[in-house]
Amino acid sequence: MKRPRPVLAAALLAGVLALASCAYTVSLDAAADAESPLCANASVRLPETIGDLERRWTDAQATGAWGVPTAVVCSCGLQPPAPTTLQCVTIGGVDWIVDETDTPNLRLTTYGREPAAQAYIDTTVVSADEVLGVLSTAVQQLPATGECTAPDVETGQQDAPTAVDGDGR
Amino acid sequence: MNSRMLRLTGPFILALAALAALIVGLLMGGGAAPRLISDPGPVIRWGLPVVKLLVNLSAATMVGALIVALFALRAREREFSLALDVASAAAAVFTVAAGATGFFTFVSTFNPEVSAGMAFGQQLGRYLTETELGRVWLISTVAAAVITILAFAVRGWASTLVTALVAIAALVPMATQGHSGTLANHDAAVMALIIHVVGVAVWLGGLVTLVFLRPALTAGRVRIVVERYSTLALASFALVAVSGAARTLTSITDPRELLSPYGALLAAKTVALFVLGALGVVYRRRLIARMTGTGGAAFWWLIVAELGMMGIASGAAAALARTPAPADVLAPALTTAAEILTEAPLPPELTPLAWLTAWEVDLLWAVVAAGGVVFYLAGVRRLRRVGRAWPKSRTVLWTCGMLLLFWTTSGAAAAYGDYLHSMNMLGRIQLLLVIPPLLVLGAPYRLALEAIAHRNDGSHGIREWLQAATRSPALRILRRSAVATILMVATLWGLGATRVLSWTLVDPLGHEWAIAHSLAVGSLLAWNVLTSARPAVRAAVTGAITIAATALGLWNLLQPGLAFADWFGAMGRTWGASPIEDQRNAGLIAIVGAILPILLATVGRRFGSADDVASIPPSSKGHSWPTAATHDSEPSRG
Repeated sequence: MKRPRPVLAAALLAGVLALASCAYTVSLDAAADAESPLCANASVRLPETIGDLERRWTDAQATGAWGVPTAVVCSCGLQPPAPTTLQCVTIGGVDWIVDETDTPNLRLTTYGREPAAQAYIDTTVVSADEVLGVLSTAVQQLPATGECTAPDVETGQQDAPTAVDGDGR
Repeated sequence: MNSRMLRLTGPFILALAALAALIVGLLMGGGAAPRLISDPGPVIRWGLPVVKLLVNLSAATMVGALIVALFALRAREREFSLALDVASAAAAVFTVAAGATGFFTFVSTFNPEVSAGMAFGQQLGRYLTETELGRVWLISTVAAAVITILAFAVRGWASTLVTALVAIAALVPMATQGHSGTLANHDAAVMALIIHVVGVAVWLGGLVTLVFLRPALTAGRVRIVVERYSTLALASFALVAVSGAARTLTSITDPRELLSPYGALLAAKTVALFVLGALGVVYRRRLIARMTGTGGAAFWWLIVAELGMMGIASGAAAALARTPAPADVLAPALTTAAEILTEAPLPPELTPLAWLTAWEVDLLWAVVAAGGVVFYLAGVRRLRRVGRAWPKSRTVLWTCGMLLLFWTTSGAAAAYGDYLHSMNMLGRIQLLLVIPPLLVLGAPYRLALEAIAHRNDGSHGIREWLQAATRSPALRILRRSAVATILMVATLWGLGATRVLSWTLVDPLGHEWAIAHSLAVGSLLAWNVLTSARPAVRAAVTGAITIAATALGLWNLLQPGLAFADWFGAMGRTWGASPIEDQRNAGLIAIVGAILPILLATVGRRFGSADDVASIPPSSKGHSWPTAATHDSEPSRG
């Protein structure tokens, strides 16, 4: 056989593999305290699917991402937030502070959990209630240090941003 | 005793002894005692161990008959088809018994109301397809049915080999069921069980086959076949003893636990094992040597006695399987992050001392390494005895390779490979780029060709199988430099940067596959580099691998993100380097590993030149041993 063939083929293959592994990885930044074993306890319990959204491969410790394109991102190891006047909801025994700055995307941060966890949700794809309901098993692993004073307890679909069912976009 | 009577008495004694031992064992160990809650009734309690025993005996006969055919008999002769018929019949019994065991297990575990109604059918269907236990028996039953047909239909070498491999694979699901062993060594317990079951199958099944074969063997053949069987039996004895001991170590945590019914049943099996071993020595040493014709009545009575002893061991084994082991837990409680991911607790910190003291023995590769060294040394000794030289350097390189294989699969690299990316990388580089060159430089194929006696009766021994393998079209393609290079690059990156690595971490089967695959690919490549006559091809192959390994190292070293964050980043580890630093260490290891192909192409080739290790002569018809002792003189090396 001619000389350059194996090199060329090998280089090509390596390139394809590298591209393939990049294509389905979601690039995220790890939170400050992501290395905490408490976060490990939570991250190994993150669900494989949220509704129809499949879990993606991320490249940061104690994070999770779901859906193509990414509709839900969550990470563990944040500084616990100070008391706030923002809305607080309790779902599955976990208190979440609702930040609506980026509507229709919602940023939800646990309240009274140390280390804190955060979920960032595209509510045009999936409802926040559904996401938090599924995430609660994992997030409950984070030790509770306090709770909201007057939380909105889950009352069905009322508080939830309108969910748009469709092709997952 | 005439052969017809033997054919009846042999299996009868085996079954009777097994059944008797099973009943005694169940009474002693309480394996069939009524249960307080949801008792399935005596039919199931006693019936389940009995059908399971039948599964064990028939599956063993199936595998044993195929192995004896492949190793001792001549294809396209009556003896060969007879052995395959035995295998087919045994597989048929196995099919029925596995089906019955599956059903009895269902009734025993879920205690449904047995009826011919719809509800029961649906329940049974869900059990067979959705529960692990049900799936095991469904797979076993289907596999057994397939083997029944295969063994009935095939008569050629290659097709029989495939059938035998399927038959051995069919034993594996049964060994993986249940929660044997403590949490920390579940995988070890399963591996020990698989090796144990395969060893027993060859040993017991081979003996049963011998009894059935006797009428088809002419006077001269009996001795040859019995001799070959006893070689198989010796190897099986070693496997059974080692794996049995390993399984025991995983099922108890305190020696005092042996003073229990479980311990008593274990003692019965151990005694049976040693009696069988002694019987084996007797007929290997004395009776075969003095054997004339088809062997006297005494010889065949000894075989019957051996079958009886095996029956006792099998019965005790079936009873033992129904007796809870002291350290076995019903459902291991998985709580910490490491336990959820790896089903084993996080090991203590990797201190310098732990490099030497951390062990997690993978019995499969420990057996391969030990067997590799023992058989290699035996071959060298055989050559020495007839005054043929074998360079010491080859022996040293081979032994180093095997020791390193043992450490890599059972030492610190294995014990920490699930938890640290760097240790995982170290193990992979060893298996791909360090161990295979050492093994190839040991020239095992050449040793096998020179030391193993040539079979001239048309049967296949190890030597003939090796030659057949090197002549196979598959290996002819794999031996091409381009194919070996592409495989190596794909393995480096596939096991280093894709989800394939996750699979090898999660699934014990994937883990073992990765080891075997890495060794095979590494050996192909090492052989290529060492034997390739053209410097240009050699440079291209070496260059490609070096570039691929360096690229993998740089990718790990320089990327800002954490690869496999959901595994290596989620262990909840509080000691050692942070996952991202550990990933950089893994990258450094890969870069150091990238030098190895260059070393191989330069220093390695000085150790063993092409004609030394190649020894895949296209025209290797094999000279018959020992007449070839004088031709083919070897330069001796220090």
